[in-house]
Amino acid sequence: MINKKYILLLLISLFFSQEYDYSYQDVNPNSDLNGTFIGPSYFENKITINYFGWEN
Amino acid sequence: MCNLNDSEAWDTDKAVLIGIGIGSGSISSWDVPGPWVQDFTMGVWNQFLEGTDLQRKKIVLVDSQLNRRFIGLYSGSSISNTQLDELYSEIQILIDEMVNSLPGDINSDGILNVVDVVSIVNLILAGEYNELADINNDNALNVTDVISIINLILDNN
Repeated sequence: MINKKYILLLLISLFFSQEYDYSYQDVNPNSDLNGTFIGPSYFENKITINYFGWEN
Repeated sequence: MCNLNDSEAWDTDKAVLIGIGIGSGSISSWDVPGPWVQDFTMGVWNQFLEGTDLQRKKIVLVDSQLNRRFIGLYSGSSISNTQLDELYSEIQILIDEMVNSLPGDINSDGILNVVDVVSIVNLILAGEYNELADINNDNALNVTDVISIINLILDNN
């Protein structure tokens, strides 16, 4: 019975799994990371503040 | 966006600002020494903002476990002081969660649930290590940690 619970939890877990991540090159010439491919996962154990900057 | 260029506003050892343009977007207004990337395929736009037709002037906070935790909307060419205060408050909440995380609470939301199981499974599959995920403190992540956290969840329920 308990094994069925484990399997059910794992299946639910995998179904709802979604990571908010990307890997793009830093193109800011004023940045220390200019030229480096970065994204949320690049900054391990840090929060990322993702500013979407397209302005009409 | 100079009003986000305040290195004292949050602990930069725990939170990093990234600018995301959309290919045609100009970096000229990004007067911040932090990273700026271009999302030519709009893939990030679609995922983070759930559709390109939505308003684009947003700031999305992603925690250290890659969960989207907060979406802040701004208007005009800058962020108002009220919006800044809300953003800084949300950043601090996430930082506090990181600092005060429970064993097994991988996404640092203060509760143990199926999301933490997902995170541990993902860490194991990626061959990565996280101290919070190492429930049995054997300095390794494996199926025993998955079983341990499931037992913790079931016991709590």
